[in-house]
Amino acid sequence: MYCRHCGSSNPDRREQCQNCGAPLQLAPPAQPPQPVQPVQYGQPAPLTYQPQIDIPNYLVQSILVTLFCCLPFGIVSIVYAAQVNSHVLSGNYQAAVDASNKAKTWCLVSFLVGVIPSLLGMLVICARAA
Amino acid sequence: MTHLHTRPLPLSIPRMLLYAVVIVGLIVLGGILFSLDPARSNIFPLCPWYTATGTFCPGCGSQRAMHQLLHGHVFRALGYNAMLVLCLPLIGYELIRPLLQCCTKRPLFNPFRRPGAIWLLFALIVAFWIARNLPLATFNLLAPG
Repeated sequence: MYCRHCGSSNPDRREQCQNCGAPLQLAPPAQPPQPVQPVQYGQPAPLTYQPQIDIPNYLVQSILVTLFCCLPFGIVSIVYAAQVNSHVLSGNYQAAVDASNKAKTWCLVSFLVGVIPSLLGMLVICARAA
Repeated sequence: MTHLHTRPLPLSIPRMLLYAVVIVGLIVLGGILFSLDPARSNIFPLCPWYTATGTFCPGCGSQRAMHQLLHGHVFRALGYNAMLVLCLPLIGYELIRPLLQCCTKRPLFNPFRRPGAIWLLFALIVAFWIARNLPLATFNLLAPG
């Protein structure tokens, strides 16, 4: 069963998502019928769509590691981010979750490979200066 | 039903901790970048891609651009890394959108959930990467410095 909140995969019997803690339900709770309001000109149309499963695409993280970590691994991550939303649009949630995980992995790799040597380098320079 | 007491927080606790760590880290980094100019100081890490290949990556000049931005020099920042300066408003919106949604209780406009928009951004970054390495005077504007 996939969490409706974060999209991660969970065993079927769980009541809460392992990843984000949101309750796992097969159907959304029934909402009381709302009175129909007349639509007036000049007012925004009422929000009628239900948000689909929101699978994180890690795009912001991808851009950040691309523009700050000085390693082009972030580019790979952007490609997977695009694939997440392509798969969501075509309804293939399993593939979307896979792409989401890959985007996350590449972000992490880029971040760690870019940041840890930089921090070590800064420490060495500061130690020499001191 | 057991989920009566498990109504999800708007942000889970690990997520809140992550936000706290990120915010503290940003303040510390911002302080360092504000007080020292990466163009003059040598404590800042060099780009590993530039060190290895001698060509600019899409992120080269980001630290110098951030220093200029923190001092309010937008045009100098654009000269160091135009892509970063242009992406920052989008990144800022995306980072505060979850917090805004907690207040508005409904999904806000999310500019980068459409594959077309992401591919466009991808193409822009790759084009920027190539262009700033071309030995032509016009494209030198995109190279840091």
